[in-house]
Amino acid sequence: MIKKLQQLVLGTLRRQIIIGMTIVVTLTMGLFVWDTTQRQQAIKIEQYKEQVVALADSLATSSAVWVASRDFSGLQEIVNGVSHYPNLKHAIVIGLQGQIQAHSDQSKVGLYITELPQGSDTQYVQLSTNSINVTKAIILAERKIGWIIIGLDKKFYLEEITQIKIKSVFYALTAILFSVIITTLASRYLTRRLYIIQKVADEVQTGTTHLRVNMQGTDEAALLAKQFDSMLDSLALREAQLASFYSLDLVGLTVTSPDKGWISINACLCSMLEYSEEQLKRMTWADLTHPDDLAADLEQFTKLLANEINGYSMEKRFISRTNKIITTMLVVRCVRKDDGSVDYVMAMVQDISKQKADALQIEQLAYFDPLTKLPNRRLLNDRLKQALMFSDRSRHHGALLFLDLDNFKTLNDTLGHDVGDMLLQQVAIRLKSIIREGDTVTRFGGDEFIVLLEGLNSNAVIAAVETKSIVTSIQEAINQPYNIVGHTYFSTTSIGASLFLGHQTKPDELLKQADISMYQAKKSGRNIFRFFDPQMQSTILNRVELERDLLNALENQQFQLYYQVQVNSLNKCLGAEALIRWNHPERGIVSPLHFIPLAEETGIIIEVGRWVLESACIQLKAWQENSNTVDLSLSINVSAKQFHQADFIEIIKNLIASYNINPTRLKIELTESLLLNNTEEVINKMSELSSIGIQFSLDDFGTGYSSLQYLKKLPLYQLKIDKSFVRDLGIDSNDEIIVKTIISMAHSLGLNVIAEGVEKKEQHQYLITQGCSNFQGYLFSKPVPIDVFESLLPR
Amino acid sequence: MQYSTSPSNNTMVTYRFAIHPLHNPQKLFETYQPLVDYLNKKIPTIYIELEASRDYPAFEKKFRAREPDLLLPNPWQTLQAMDNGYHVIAMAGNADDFKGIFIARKDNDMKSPIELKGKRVSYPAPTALAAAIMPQYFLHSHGIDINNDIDNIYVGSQESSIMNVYLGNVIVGATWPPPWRAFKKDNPEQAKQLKVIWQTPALINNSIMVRDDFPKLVSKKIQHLLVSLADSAEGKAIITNMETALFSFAKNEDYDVVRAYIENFEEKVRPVENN
Repeated sequence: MIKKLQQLVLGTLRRQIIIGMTIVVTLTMGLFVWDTTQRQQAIKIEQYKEQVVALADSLATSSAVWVASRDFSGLQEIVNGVSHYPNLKHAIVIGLQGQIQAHSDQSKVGLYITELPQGSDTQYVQLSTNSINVTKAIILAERKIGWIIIGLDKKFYLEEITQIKIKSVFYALTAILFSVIITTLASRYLTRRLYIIQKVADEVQTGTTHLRVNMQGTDEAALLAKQFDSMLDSLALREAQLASFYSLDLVGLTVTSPDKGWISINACLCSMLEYSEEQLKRMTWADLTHPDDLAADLEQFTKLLANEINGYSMEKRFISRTNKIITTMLVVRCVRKDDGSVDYVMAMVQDISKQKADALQIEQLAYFDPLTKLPNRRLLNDRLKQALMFSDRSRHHGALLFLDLDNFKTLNDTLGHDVGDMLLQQVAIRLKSIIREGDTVTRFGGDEFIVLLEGLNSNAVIAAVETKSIVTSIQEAINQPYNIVGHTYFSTTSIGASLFLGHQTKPDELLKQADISMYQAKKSGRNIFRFFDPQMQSTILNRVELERDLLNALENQQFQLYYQVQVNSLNKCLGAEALIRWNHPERGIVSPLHFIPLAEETGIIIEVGRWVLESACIQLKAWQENSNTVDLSLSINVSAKQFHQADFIEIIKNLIASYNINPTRLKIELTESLLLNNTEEVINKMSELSSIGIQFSLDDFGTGYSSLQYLKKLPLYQLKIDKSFVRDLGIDSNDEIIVKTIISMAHSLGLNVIAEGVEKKEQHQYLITQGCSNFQGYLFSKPVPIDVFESLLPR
Repeated sequence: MQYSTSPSNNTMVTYRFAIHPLHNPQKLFETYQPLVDYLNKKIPTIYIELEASRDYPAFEKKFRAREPDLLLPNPWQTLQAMDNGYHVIAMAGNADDFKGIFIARKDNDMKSPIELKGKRVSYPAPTALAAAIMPQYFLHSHGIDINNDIDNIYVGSQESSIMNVYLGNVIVGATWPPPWRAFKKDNPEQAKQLKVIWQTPALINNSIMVRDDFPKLVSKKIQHLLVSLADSAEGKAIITNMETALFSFAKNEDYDVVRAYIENFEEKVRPVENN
C-alpha cells in the first residue's frame, strides 16, 4: 500500500521535483506566514498598547488638575470626551483611595476599585483575552494623585489579526499554487529531454529496436542520450548476434518462464517437433515429452525450481507431431531473480537421433557378433562385471556356462564354412529363445558360446540345481535336428559351468573355470555337462604346463627308455619292458603316469609312440647282434590312439624292415580299454601284426572289463596280471583268488601269463605255486637305463 | 474590573485640605504639597490630601458644602467660611505681603492709574481680595470708575492674569506678591518683559481654617506645626518654596478688618458676592 502510494506520488522525476518544490515552498511560506502573523500580532498589540497608553497618558494629564481639584463634573466631561474612542471598553478616573471619580459608565461613579496597583510604578498594562487594560497614575507636581484606567476591547484587534492571518494564508496558498505551476512547468522543461529518452526506452522495451534518441547538445541529458544510443547500438548488435545464433538450424532453443510459459521458440525446435510456434505455445512441455522420460525431466526441473541446481543436461526423447520419437540432448539453464526464484528457463534441444543410431551401430560392431548378432566377448566382459556387482549386492549366485559344439570342426571341414555359419546362427537363435530374460548369450568365438545366468539362488546347491535345469533345456534345444539348406543335421554341445557369488572370483578366472569344466565335459564324452571343481583346476593348470613342455620334449630329446627285466620262474632273463621316461629339465624325471595321459589327450602320444617304437627297434637290433642278448624280447606299450592310427601297421612293418629285426622278439602291450571301441579293427590289426610274428600282451589285465569273448577272439600271446593284484598277495585273499583265476584262465586259453609289480619273495613264491611262469618287478630289478640293464645280464 | 462601595484600605483617616486657587492646580500642588507632606509626616495618624479648585466659585462652593476639612482661603473667603462653620487657626504669610500689585509690560510708560481709562484690566476672579478687590479699590481711590471706565476681565487665576499682560490682551493685570514671585521664578524670560507698576496698601494675609468638626487635638497640632515652621531648616525650605513669609497664630476676629474692608468696598465700588 505504502509502496503503491510512494510510486504514485514519487514515481517520476517530475513528480519528485514538483512534490519537493511544493513541500519546500509550503514550508517556507508556512514559516513566513507564521512569522509574519506573529510579528504583525506583536506589532498590533504593541500599537494597541501604545494607543491605550497614549490615551491613558493624555487622560491622566488632562485630568490631573481636575483630580487635584476634585472636580468630578469636569472629570466626567473629560472622560465623556474620550468615550467615543473606538473599542473603548471603559475609561475610569480613580482617586488615590480607589474611589471612582469619573467613569465612561457614569453609574459607576462613587464606587471603589478594589485592586489598584501598589508600589511606585506609574503605569501598568494588563493584557487579557478580550481586552487591554492600562492603569496610569495621575501625576501632578510629581505626585501621584490618582489613577486612570483605560480598557480597550481587543475584539477589533483580534479581527484585524484574523484578517491578517486570512490574507497571509491566502497569499501563501497563492504562492504555493504559483510555485506548483512554475515547478510543474520548470520540471517539464528540465525533464523534457529525459522524457524523450524515456519514450525511446519505452518503445525499445516494447520491441522497437531501430529507434534512437539522437539528441543534440552538450548537457547531461544529451550525454546520457548519446550513451543510451550507443548502448542501444551495442544491444542491437548483441541481439543481432544472438538472433543469428538463435535462428541457426543447429539446435532447438526455447526460453520459458515459470510465470509466463513459453516466451520464444526458435525455428529449429519447431521443425524438429513438426509444430508451428503457435501450436507449440498452446502445448505443454509434458505434452511433447516421451512418457518414459517425463519423470526424470520433472525431477531435474523440480530441483531447478527449488534452487538446488542451476541447470541440467539429460538425454531425452521428444514426440513430434507425427509421433516420431526424437532422441535429443537437452541442456537446461536458468536465470534467477534476486530472491532466488527462477525468472527464465533456457532449454537447448539437440537432435541426437543420428548420433544415437551411429553409436548403436558402433556398439553393435564393437559388442556384437556380426554373424549371430549375439553379444561378443567384449560385451560379455562388461555384462559379467555387472553381473558380479549385482551378485555382490544381491547375494544371488550367478553362473557362467561355457558351450562348445561337439563335432563342429568336422561339420565345418566337411561341409564348408557357410554351412558351419548357418549352424552357428541357428544355435544362436535357439540359445536366445531358451534363456531367461536377463541372462546373456554370447558367442565367445568359433563354436564356443557363453551363457551368463544371473539372479540364481543364494544357496549354492540350489543355484547349481537351477543351473543344471537351464543347461538341460539348452541341451535339449541344441540337440534338436537342424535343417540347413535342405539337409538335416544333428549337433550336441559340451557344457562347462562355473558358479559365482559376488566378487570372490575375477571375470577372467570365472571364464577360465567354465572353460576348464567344459573341457572336462568334453573329455568325459560329448553332450556332457560338468561343473567346475577347484581341485580339478589346479590339476588342469599343471597339465597345461606339461602339455606345453611336452610339445618340446621330443624335439629336445628329453625322452629316454628305461628297461625293466622280465624273468621266468627260474629267474632267467627273457627280456624287458621298455618304459618311457621324461627327463624334464626342471621337474627331473617325470613319471609316465603323469605325462602319458596328457600326451594322449593332446595327440602327442602318436609322435611319442613312434619314437618309443623306433627306439625299441634300434635296441632289439643291437641285442640281436650280440649272442648274449639275441634271444631277449622287448615289450613296448602302444596307446589306443597310436594303435588306431591308420598307418600303424605300416609303420611297424617299415621299422622291422628298416632295422632288420626279428619280429618275434617285439612284444606290444595293449590296454584293455583299447579293445572296447572298434573291436573288429583292433582284432584285424592285431591279427595282421601277429601274422608277422609280433606278440601281444594284454596290459593291466583284471582292471578293465575285458570280455572273455574278446579274449578268445584276440590273437594274444600273453596276459599281464596288474600289479595292483600282485601287491596285496598274502594280504588280500580276494587278490589271491583273482590272480589264481587269471592264471588259470590264461592257461585254459592257452596264453602265457606274466605278473608285474613283483616285489617280494612271498609274492613270487605264490605266483610260482599258482603256475605263473613269467615275472617282472622290483624283486628282480627296477626299470633302469640300457647300460645298467645290460650290465646286469649274465655274461 | 472589580467595583466596591467602600475603599479597600480604610486604615487612615483622610482629611481634605482645599486651597483657594491662588495658583493653577499644578503650581498649587508644587507649592503646597511639601507643606502637606511635612504635616503628614509629623502627624502620622492622619492623612491630609491637598486639593485644588478649578476657580474661586468652585472653591467657595466646596467650603459652602462643608466638604474640605482644612481650608486655605483668602481673607474674604475666610469670612465666608466662618459663616459655614470653619474657624481660623493661623494666618499664612506676612500681613504686609497681602496687597494687590499691577503688572504691566516693561514698555508700558503709564504714570498714573487714570491712564487706564478705556483699557482692559485682568484679574484672577472678582472675589480675589488681594488680586481683584484691593486693586479695584486702589483704582477707585485713584479716580477710576471701575464699572465704567475700564474693561475688567476675570481670567480665573493669578498666572492667567499675568500671562494676559504678557500676551497683550490687557494693558495691566492685577495679582498679588506671592504669585508674582512665583511667576518670576518659573518664567524668568517672560517676567523680564513685565514690571510692577503700582501696588495697593496691605491688608491681612490668607488664613488656615479648620471645619468645626475637625478634631481639636489635630487642629492644635497642625497650628503648632505651622507657626513653628520657620524654626527648622526643613520648615524654612518649605516656606521659601511657598513664597510665603511664615505662618502665625490667628483667630476669626483677626479677619474682622477684612469684613470692614469689604463692606466699604461693596458700598463704594461694587458688591463682592453675587455679581
